[in-house]
Amino acid sequence: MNSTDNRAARYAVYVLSLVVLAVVWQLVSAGTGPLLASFTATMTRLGELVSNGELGTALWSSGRIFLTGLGISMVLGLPLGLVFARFPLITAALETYVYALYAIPVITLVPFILSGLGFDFRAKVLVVVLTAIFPILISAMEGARSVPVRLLDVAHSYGSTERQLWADVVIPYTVPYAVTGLKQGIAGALVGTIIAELFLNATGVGDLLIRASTNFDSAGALAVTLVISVIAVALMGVSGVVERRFAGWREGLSE
Amino acid sequence: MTEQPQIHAGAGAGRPVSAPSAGLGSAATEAVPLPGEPSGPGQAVPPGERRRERRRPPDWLLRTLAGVALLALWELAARALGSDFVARPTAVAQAVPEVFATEKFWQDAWATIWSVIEGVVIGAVAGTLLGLAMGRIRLVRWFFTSYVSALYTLPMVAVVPLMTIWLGYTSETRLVAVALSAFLPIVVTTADGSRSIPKEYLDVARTFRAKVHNIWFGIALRNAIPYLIAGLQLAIARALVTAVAVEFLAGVPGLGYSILMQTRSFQQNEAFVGVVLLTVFVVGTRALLTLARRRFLPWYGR
Repeated sequence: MNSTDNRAARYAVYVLSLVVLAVVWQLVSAGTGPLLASFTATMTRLGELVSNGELGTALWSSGRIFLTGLGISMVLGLPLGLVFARFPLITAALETYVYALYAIPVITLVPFILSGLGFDFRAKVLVVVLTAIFPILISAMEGARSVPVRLLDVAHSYGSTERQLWADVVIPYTVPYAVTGLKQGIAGALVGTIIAELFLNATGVGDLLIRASTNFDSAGALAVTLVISVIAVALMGVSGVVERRFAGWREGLSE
Repeated sequence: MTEQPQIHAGAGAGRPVSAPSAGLGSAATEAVPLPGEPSGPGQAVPPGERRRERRRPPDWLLRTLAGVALLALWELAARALGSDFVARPTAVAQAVPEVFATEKFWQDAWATIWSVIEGVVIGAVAGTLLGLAMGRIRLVRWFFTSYVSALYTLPMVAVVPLMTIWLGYTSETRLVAVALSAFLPIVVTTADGSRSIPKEYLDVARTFRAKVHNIWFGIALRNAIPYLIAGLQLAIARALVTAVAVEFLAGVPGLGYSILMQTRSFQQNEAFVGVVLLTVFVVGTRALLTLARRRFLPWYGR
């Protein structure tokens, strides 16, 4: 089998699939009237949103929430996960509740946050933290907990202090898990940001989406959804690369 | 949790032993271990001996104490705030019988949960078919990969406003949105599962001149079942989020909508019963699926 041919064929099919989408979209929209804006109309609307600055402002507003929430989740989640893993008493006591909290659909908590905290920046960041922190915390915990005993034993034999044990064994061993957790945390934070921006008062991309939807501006809604999708794919792509870089040797990694 | 060495079918050496998680290259987003199901490559820490050395209290006691402490903390914090806007554990517990006695609660709960079940079934059937096709036919995989991974990565909640334009503020919108949210994880996991068939199986199948449908449904689909189960667990969680999102946004009657309405009228405690019910639904279906996998496919490990 010739692998360069194969790759060329694959990319040809990728391109073809995109062209087919654009053409089918254009044709279908011609038959459905204003409900489904055509491909070209969507692109025109996207151009408008970019040039009048609305999209940029919205992305900045949502991006701040996303980054703050993700940052807090990392700063809290990673060390907490490590602590959980190294102190079996804490794990035994709290693990069940961590998993239980992780299982709550965060979207159902949004009305409580809305009535308890309002809909300012803090409340929105809280929603993002709730969606992002658990995968980060749990991965760090699982990682640190799966440090092979023999590594710890060897470190002990050579007289490692607790600090050295952390710096030389536990943390390096946990990095691949943490990176995977971070990737899942980013995915969670994306969902959290959209939820916060739609259901606490609508700002940023949420505002764009809601306005487009109430005005039956399908071109606008499609354009914003496309942009969100591209951002999501890019973020996951980058974190996938980072994951492969840091976690390539870990077992059971998907592809 | 008993940590025993995981045993798996000899033929599939090198394949993931624990439950497969959703994959498809970089699009894998939620592979976090499911509640109560610590995973990860071979739990290497044998907790037994170390625990005995330290003579610590039993786990159940610690867990109960921590649970009580957490609830007490929540209760005290809520009292300190002294606000009707905050649910309190004691008040939630008091509200349970009253809420359970109202017919509307069950109607709403059923509306939401039924739409999730219906949507997941539709999404699962369609998703399995496309997943199988993507797993078995290279051209199909190449053609759909970019769409599937883009949509899989896109938070479905962001598509809800668009759907209300097309389908209006109706329960059909909820069903379609739910089905779509369930469809994508199923496609991704089924494609992974039907692709990673051990080569020997295919060789044997070819030797016996198996028909295409034998390979697809006899080998590929069977191989994909544990993946499909992981996909279903993910699908149910995502579908529920979407269902609630549609209810919030479009005012479709259901438990999500009634939670929203109750929190607006100082019924935080009553509303929280709804949150608990939905969480129990997600955890319960997930546990059932895991149980089914362990019962019927024990060689896939815990």
